[in-house]
Amino acid sequence: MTRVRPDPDRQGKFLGEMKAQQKSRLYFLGLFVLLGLVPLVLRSEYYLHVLIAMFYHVIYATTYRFILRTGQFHFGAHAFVGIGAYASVLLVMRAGWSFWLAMPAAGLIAAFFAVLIGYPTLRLKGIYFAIITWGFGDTLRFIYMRFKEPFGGPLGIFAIPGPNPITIPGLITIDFSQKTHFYFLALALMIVTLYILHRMEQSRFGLIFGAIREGDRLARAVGINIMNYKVLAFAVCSGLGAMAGSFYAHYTYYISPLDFSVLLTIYLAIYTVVGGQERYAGVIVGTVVLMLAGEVFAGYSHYQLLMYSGFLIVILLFLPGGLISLPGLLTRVGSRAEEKEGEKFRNDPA
Amino acid sequence: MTQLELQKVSKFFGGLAAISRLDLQVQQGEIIGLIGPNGAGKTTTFNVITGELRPNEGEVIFEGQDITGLRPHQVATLGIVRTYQLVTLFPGYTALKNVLVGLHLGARIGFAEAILNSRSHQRKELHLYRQAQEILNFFNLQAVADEPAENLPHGLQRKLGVAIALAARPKMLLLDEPLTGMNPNEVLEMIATIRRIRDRNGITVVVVEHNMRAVMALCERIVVINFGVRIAEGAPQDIQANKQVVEAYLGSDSHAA
Ligand SMILES: Nc1ncnc2c1ncn2[C@@H]1O[C@H](COP(=O)(O)OP(=O)(O)O)[C@@H](O)[C@H]1O
Ligand SMILES: [Mg+2]
Repeated sequence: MTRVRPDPDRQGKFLGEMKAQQKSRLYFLGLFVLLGLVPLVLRSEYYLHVLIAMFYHVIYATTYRFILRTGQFHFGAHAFVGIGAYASVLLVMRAGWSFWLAMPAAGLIAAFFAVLIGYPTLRLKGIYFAIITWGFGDTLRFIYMRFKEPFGGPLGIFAIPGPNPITIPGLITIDFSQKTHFYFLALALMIVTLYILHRMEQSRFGLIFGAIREGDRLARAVGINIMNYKVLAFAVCSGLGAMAGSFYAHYTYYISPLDFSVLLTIYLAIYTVVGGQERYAGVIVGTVVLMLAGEVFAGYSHYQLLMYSGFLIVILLFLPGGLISLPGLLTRVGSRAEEKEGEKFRNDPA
Repeated sequence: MTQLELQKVSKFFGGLAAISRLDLQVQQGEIIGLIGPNGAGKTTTFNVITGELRPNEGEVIFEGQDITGLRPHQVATLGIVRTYQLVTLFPGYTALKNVLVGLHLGARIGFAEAILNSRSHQRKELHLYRQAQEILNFFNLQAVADEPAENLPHGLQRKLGVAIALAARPKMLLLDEPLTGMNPNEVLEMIATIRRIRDRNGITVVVVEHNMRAVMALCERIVVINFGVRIAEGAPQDIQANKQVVEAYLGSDSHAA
């Protein structure tokens, strides 16, 4: 890389972080390859399905969490996932588009809606924003139910085609006749989404989002247009969630208004809190753990929300930082004495 | 040349006029002191200029443009950046990152390139990093670059506050009590720094300050307000000799010296 002034004292944390960032692409590629090997080992369609569902839920949850981190109590993730699903299905089934165009288009449409409702509402704080976004989701659900044409009414839309086959002549054909094909598509979508979110957090944009959290008044005073940043995060995350919604529709071949009720957002909120929203890995852990728990107790699916709520209460009471804070907490208990010493030092000004 | 002009600006809080039909002119490139006892309306004047408060009447004109009612980030974009009476930083961020945020207006990094982390983007980031380092050096803060702002001693926090503001490349700096809580040596250092900011970059500086020695040492012109009304204006020596000013201070404030 380019040389920085050879000041030995100032080799600085920041440059180190920048260097690490240049490598992060490799980690994401590595994760893709690693998870890409799973279907070689795991032959069961059922387990693949569990993983696929996990992948798109990870997309929902991580994008949801990013919006929460901009200080907005978002309660309408289901609205945008739904827009993505319905838009892409209609574009494919009514307008005859290829899935490969319809999916990104669905993302853009959802992002557009996010901008539209974001500008007037993102200045609302706390419960007000929650109510508005929840209401937006429920309004959409009402529209899907009420208008059989083109939304299919309460029964939803049946016989949705899978993604169009991809053929690289003489090499490979992916026609989505097998679970593994969907597996790779879901995996790719998840990795790309995670990479985008990771960059949003680590780049200058993350610096600014953090600054807005740290002190919005000062952020404005140095010229930051907070609303633009909030709308940007809201639109990008809603768009990514909508693409996952599009995948969901073409993967399950059937959507109905019930799929996009506030219950979806409630689940995402639980995943986020249980996993821990401080860090990006926390939400992933929360989603994976709770969805696995959900599978284990699949026979009692009526009680799923109850079980999740139990999890939530336990976490809120005993582990407010979420599951992701557990390893740190354990090591800290192990070396409590040293920690106390450190604390003393840290509180001492200068 | 008049760079900033307040024309009969008033701001009421309930029945109380924090500032009342206040006229103020700031010349391009000067260091001007805005003084007055506690509660005189100095901070309110800053808040009205930067758009944090909307005046009830009157106009704020900056470089010929009516900026009354513009939002704070818009005012900053036009070139007026302020610091706060109570130290205001991004507390969890390191000193370096605080300044990096301050560089926002000059950053010009697009969303797509930031996501892709392209070569040209990395070069821009590195360039910003160097600029931030330069600013830290300018304030003699380089040794604490990686220290969280909240852990810094008060004097350094004040300096960092000004460093963030300077990073925004203002045409005009509004400093709200930049010397409060500093030891005498830090005060002298800050006075020299403020002078250099003006001399080197031609940045106009408006200082609100209670430390009279410092105001006399730093400012070329002084405006005195009391109860939101301008009661005197002139060169430091005139102000010192002004009876009304002395009365205002003796009447309500012990900082007078
Ligand atoms: N946000 C506010 N709400 C109500 N009163 C305020 C507010 N800000 C300032 N004031 C009042 O306005 C007057 C001027 O305050 P201020 O501008 O902070 O004075 P100074 O900075 O000169 O000490 C004071 O009487 C103060 O109590
Ligand atoms: Mg004040």
